[in-house]
Amino acid sequence: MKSLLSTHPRIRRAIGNQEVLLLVIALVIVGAVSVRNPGFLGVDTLFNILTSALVPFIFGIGVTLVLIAGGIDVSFLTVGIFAAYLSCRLFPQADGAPGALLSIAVAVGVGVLLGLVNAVVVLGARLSTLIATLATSAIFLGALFAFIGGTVISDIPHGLVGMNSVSLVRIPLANGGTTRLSALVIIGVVLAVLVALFLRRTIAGRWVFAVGGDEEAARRVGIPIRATRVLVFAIAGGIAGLAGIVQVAQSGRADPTTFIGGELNVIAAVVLGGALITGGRGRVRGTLLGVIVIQIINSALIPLGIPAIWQQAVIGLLLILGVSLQTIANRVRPIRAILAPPASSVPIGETV
Amino acid sequence: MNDQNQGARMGRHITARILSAMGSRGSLVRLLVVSIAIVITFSALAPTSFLTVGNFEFLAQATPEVALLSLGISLAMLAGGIDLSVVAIANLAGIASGLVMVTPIGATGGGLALAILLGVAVAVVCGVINGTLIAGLRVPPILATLGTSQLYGGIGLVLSGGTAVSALPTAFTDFANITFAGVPLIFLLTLLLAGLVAFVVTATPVGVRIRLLGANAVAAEYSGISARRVTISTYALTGGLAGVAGLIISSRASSADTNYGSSYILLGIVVAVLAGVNPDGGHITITGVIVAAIALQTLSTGLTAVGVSSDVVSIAQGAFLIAMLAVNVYGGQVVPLFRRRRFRRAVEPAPA
Repeated sequence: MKSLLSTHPRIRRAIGNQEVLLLVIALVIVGAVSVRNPGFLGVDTLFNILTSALVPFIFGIGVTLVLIAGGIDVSFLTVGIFAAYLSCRLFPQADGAPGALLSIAVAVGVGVLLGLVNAVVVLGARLSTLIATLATSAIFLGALFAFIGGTVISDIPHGLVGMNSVSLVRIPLANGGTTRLSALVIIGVVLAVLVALFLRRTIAGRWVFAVGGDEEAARRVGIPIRATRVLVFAIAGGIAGLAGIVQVAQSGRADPTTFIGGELNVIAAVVLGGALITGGRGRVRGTLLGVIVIQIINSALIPLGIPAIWQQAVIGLLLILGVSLQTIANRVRPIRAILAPPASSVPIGETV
Repeated sequence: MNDQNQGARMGRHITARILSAMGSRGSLVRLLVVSIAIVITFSALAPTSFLTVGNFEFLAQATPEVALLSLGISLAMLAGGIDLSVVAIANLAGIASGLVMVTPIGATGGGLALAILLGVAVAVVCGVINGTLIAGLRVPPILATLGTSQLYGGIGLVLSGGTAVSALPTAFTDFANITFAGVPLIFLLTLLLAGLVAFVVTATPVGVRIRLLGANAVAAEYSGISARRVTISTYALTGGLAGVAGLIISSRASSADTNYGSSYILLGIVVAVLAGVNPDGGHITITGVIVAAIALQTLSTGLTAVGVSSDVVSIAQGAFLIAMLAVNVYGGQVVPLFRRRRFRRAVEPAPA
């Protein structure tokens, strides 16, 4: 195994590249379910998966940013529901398109503020982001229940309801019904493109990679480490607020307990997508694949005859498998002498 | 003369040993001050509900599970890692032994002992899996234990069928209520286990290796320490402690479930940090962990006695963690400012 991996860069890269692995897993699962249940393969399932993947994907984009910058955030779900709930409480009458925009803007704004709180705690107390965000997430959730409210708002602002009911596509099904994809999906697409462009094409975006990849090196080339960290936490907070309000719009209710305990599912998806927990690597595309694969698994368990109760164990196993493969693929990378000519099969400048 | 010198040296040596066992950086002193402040505050605020025998009995009953889980997390931190799966391990151990207890075998004394042993064994195996992932495959501890906590929780869910394993034998559920001279047996058991861990860490070869590995992994490797074996035994020990905590939880709750103690991860980290355990590895104080666990449990029962909701308790715990870490970071800069002025006159020019 080891010699095979080290002699064939192509194979090694394919295993190291989790996006390929995820595609294979997705295809195998979809294939297996389709054999047992031909009705699975259809527009209906596709729309269901896209709809249920939307909120985890938006959350996942924020998590990806923090991971690339070399931290791990576990407060994003609390930030999301806090921002969305507060937005619904502050402007319950927001109606029409301007109302929807107001609800979203307030949620994003609150998210940015909470993200800044995270940044202050992480930078001020100089602690690991995991410990800091565990603490802030306990504080945010406690504050939400204690000072803002713990009851479910079932009458959410009409602007959000209206936004969810706009259909992007509506397709008639064979059985006479129709299936539709809500226009909310556009938010996910636009955000994904924006964040991908930010990461790849802007100076600040490259700083994020530099800070997460090697903080000392980044400091020595003059990158403002603290400012970059603050920016990352602020953006991630805003994205979490957006995800929270999209969830509220999607479900038609604002429930403070919605996300409790779901952090791992999102982090699992992001890590499966290839973001490196130690920072410096990650991409929006990978996160999208990770989220979709987890949604496919969720929707495939029952058609495959596996009780839904196995879901958590399966995802845990998959996460362990994903990170193990990631670390193994990184480790068997052969060390090439600096002066040796680059191996012909690896283009110059490509990172493994 | 010589004897006297040697005696004095021995004395100094023993004092130094005791001081270092209490924790450097004055952490134990600080901790004791904080604990006493907590007790005094709540005694003043709620003398009728806080200063009661019943409250202290509850305190002694509720502390063991927190203390054991914190001890487990502290050990992982000592080795330079972290274990986020302790609560999942505890619940899995409780469920595994609970499932044996409800069978006819479990009704017998031998069967009960077997069930308890099985629970601890399951927990140790979980710990070994964690250690293997971390040391064998070099998966970062945060990720490995995030993944396994998902997996162990999922397995617990499958084993228990999604509901609590209840109707445990009374011999087991009564165990939590046994007291010796007013002190619960589980509290004494916790002290005994803590003493055992302290002995292992300070006086056995494996303990020395764990500390060295946490303090400086590279140096440890160069001195011929097998990082793999040491890491696996650390996480096995952590798992075992979590298993005992799980059994205590299910004895106190009279049932076993995957949902118990989800807030204990944050609490355990707070306790470890408050105790002065270095999250980067190499430093631990067992006394500190026990005192900190009691202090935090006092904080939450105190807050409850004052009449605030559990949400405020979680805010307080989060804020407490951040405050203690801020003290760790900035305390060293502030304290000298309050020292007596000395040697200033000689330097300052005389006033004209």
